[in-house]
Amino acid sequence: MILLVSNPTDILSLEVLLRCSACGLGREDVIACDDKTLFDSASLALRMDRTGTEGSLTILDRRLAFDELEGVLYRPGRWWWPGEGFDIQDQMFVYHETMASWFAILSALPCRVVNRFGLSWWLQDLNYPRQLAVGLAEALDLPARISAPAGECAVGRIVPSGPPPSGSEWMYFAGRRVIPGAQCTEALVEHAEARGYAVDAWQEETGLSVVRADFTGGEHPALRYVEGFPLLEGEPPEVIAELGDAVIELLLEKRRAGV
Amino acid sequence: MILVLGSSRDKVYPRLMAELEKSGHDYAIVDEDCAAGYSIEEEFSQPAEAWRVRGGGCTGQRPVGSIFVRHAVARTLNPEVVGPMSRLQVQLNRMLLGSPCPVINPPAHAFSNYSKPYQLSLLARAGFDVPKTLVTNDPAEALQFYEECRGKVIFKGASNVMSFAQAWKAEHFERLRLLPYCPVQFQEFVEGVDYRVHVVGEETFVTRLAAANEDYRRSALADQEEILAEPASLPATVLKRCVEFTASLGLVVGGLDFKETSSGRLAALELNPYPQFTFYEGRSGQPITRAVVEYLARNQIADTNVYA
Repeated sequence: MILLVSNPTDILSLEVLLRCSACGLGREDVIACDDKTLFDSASLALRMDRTGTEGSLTILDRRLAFDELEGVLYRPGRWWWPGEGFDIQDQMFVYHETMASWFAILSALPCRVVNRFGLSWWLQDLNYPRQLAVGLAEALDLPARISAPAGECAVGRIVPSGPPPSGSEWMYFAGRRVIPGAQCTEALVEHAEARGYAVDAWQEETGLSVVRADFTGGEHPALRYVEGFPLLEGEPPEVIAELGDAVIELLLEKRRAGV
Repeated sequence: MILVLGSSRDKVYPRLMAELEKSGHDYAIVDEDCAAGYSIEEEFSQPAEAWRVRGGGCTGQRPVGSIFVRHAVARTLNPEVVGPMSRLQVQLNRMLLGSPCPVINPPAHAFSNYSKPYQLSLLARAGFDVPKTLVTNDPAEALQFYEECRGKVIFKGASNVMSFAQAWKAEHFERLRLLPYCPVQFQEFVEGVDYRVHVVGEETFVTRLAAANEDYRRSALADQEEILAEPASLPATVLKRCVEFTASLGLVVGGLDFKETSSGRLAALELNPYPQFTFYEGRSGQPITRAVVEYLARNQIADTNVYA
């Protein structure tokens, strides 16, 4: 069973949804909903003791034990807020209780979550993008010259950035794949591929298996920004298609490994 | 020099200032309650980035060797207060991310208790016994858990937004109908003695607490009842695990809460990354603030990139 949480117009989710049927997944194998549905009407139960965690979710009237989930694509719109039946103080309380619970659920799921964002992201820590860039630059053994594309940190929130600024080169890391963006030299891709083992470790540490990395162009590239929530607007269809392939591969990795 | 980032309204502040003064070490303060009076300049001209903190008693010239952080909390929604404070804290946190100075505690590593069930899973993975726990918004699941625990259940928030643990009593059954609106953390009630273990680097301070309420903080804070706090001891293996767990989160200081039953079961409840250690110190007489200051003084670095 695959769970897709995203806006209905999200480019990557639509691409993944297309591939679900191509991979032989039927309607009964996929649950697709937005984050409003998830937070407003899904039931959750997370149980733990000293021996471990287990639990279940009921989404759109379908009950799933944690170990029935094979993969989760988590690309929420992030505009959810509790209903107006609460006063403002209770709204804030309900918001944080809901986020804290769902963070624990996604952390406890024994399957791939794309992306399993850290608490800094959930808490809108405006230094989170910088932390990502510093870490990935280290993994790539490249200098970091951090400058955020327009849109970062708008109104005190981490929001997905727009396309990289002109003059940039960029690429996507999706699991083990390195997918060049519309502007990217072969040399930079080769360099990134050669650092695959360090990028793997960075992905493991951050929980981010699909990101866009922006670089300053030129002979001595430096990492400029890491987008953990690439929107793919303006990307050529072949880049979007390759990302779709890579993500469905990640979501079905357990099935393909026969687990 | 030791740099203190925090709030002059914080209860830890006066004790910390007194101990710093007594230690004789040079220190400077950024009082985030007066955020508009400070500026943080990031310099890119050197081989590595450098930061200069100016305002209050900070001149941007004196090298900083270690840093204590306990960010101010804006107890208002007034944008004239929240705006400058948030901006200053974002800049300070950016500085901390780029600085090699030892920090008590790095904010970027202090998020785990935002999600208490997540943190509890980390405690279990580290080898601590933890109470049987359920997080749910489903009344049927909650009722089943209540039966499994034979009616000995407490409930509390899943996030770090302030909420007290409460015993599940007869009058609470009626409120189960509200559960679908907000998940709640339920736990088996571990009846016994409360312990707080403060970790400061490799040092530990164990405090035993006694109060009338199931959550001793309610006795002290909400009900204004006096609580008993006294120095105590716990097995060395437990204390070693506390030190290792605190360090594994990237923290220097941690406040870990435990319950010990009469049969000797020791259950870990949570770790507070910004413990109000003066609350315990004021009652037990344990020199926790002094240990914090000694850690900051002892671990100062010379090759800094922060100047205040």
